[in-house]
Amino acid sequence: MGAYLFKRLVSLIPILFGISVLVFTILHLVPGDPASIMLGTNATEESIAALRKSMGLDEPLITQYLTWVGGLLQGDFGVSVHSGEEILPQIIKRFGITLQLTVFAVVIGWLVAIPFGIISAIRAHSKTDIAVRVATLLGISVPNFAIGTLLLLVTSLYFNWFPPIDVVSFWENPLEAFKVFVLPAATMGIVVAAGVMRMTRSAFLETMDKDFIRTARAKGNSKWTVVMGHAFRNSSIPIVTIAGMQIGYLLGGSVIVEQLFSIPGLGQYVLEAIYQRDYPVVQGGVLFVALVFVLVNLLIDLIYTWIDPRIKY
Amino acid sequence: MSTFRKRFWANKTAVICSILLALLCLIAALAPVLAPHDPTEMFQNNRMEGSSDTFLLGTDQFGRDLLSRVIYGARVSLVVGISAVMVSVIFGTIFGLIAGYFGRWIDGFIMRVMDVLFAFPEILLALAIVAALGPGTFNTIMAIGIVNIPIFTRTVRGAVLSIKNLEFVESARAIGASTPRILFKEIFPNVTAPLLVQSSLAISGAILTESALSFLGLGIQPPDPSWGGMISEARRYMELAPGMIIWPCVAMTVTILSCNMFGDAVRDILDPRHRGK
Repeated sequence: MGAYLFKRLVSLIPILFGISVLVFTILHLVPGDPASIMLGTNATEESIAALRKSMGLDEPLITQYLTWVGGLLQGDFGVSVHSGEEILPQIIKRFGITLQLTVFAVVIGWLVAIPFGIISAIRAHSKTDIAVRVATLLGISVPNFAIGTLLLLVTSLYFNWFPPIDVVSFWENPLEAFKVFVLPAATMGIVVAAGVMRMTRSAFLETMDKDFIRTARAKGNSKWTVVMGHAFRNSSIPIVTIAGMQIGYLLGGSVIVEQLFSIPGLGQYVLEAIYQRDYPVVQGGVLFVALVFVLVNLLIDLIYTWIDPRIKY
Repeated sequence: MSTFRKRFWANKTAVICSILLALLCLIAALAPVLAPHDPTEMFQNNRMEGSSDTFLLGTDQFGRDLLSRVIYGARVSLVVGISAVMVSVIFGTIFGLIAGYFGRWIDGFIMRVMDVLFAFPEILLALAIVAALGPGTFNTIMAIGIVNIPIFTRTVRGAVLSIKNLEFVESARAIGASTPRILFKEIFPNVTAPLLVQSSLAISGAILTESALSFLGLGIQPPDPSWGGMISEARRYMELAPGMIIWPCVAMTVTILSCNMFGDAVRDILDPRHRGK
């Protein structure tokens, strides 16, 4: 396991290098001079020249890249052109909010998806199964911003209720945080539930056909024991895979939901930076999310060995 | 092929969804004929009206006809969705064929680049590309197209690996066929089935991403109608005119649902192991 972890960490190096090159290149795809674009049409020649110098845009591309990566390795993500603030502390602060939203969404999604996915598989082709499959298809097909907007419409029209604007952490005030996050988390949770439910049903259908399940039934075990004691763990790998992928996507994809519900998370930070053409923040935010995404995928691979000890690396 | 046709016509979902998709394409193509009004024409005296004989689905905050905007929105979504997937299919197929056929360091290099592209959540990478290139239809197509290239590269590479050592490829090599001929005339026709399944599923994803970008104001720019943009504009008026949100949502859901179900059905037809799962 230790050797595998080491090998995986080493294999991450070229990926991380590629990510840094791609993120760096994206800024340099900007047509024209990034400094004058960032400062807008009213900027003076002097201010443009000063920004160009402070960002090192006069230097050759390779020097700019090495300086940027050197800074990243020392925890220096640079400074926001718009606010003048250090980028990394802002990213960490905003990421905390996004993480709370993501965890809440995943909890909602899994609580709905796993039981219904199992029921759907056990009662395959029944009315319940058809209802679950229709719900799953709808969940996959309706965009999350449409779900969120419709949820807002329903709660405001029929319950005259809007989520509070001021964001508080679950650690500070759980009840208030619940009120803040419940609608955005439900919005994301519906999409999570659809994917996990589909995978749970599919994985259970496959497992329930296996010989060891027939043996477990033949021994006279109750349905509950067969499903939870024998089938569940053996069906978990694809479920964990899809769930892990979704956590990664949620961390980056929460940008839309955060914008819709005015949640000041990492997604909104990057989006505001895009609107303000604050490219160092865009670079830092995108890079951070990609790093988290890669680490989540690594974690999922490690969880496989815990779920199924037959997997040896 | 005749077996595929037989199975296709026997699969109700595939038939219904393909009819729906054909209808949607027809509506999009005939938008100037079918739309009762110009989608950008403002009827100042009829702002945020409900359904009427003149405006079947009502009007928006500028008095523009919602039905016409939804119809033209179909055109935008389908054009962007299909074009973006075509970009992904073209590049993904070329990269996948090269990686799978040549193997060794070429395969390693191409697949590592794809791993890097895979390391970004789809919407975030599309956002970053649009942030650099600027909003607009062409840039949206390119951004979504680039984001989806790795999926097609992996699909094609996997298919190539499974067939590149089969006898018909060996025979082509033995008679001295050129590498491009082997790749495009011998191997490519055999990877079209997984490409077709992946494409139909990717179109729905591309439409979703386009609508999300437009919702954020970074995709299709106003006054051109796009479903995502319409929902974004409608948020401020949702209590006064819920139809402004509901109709684009319905149109988008029907389109994406049809694409997803069509993709699933075609996969079932081509690979019976998936049936009912």
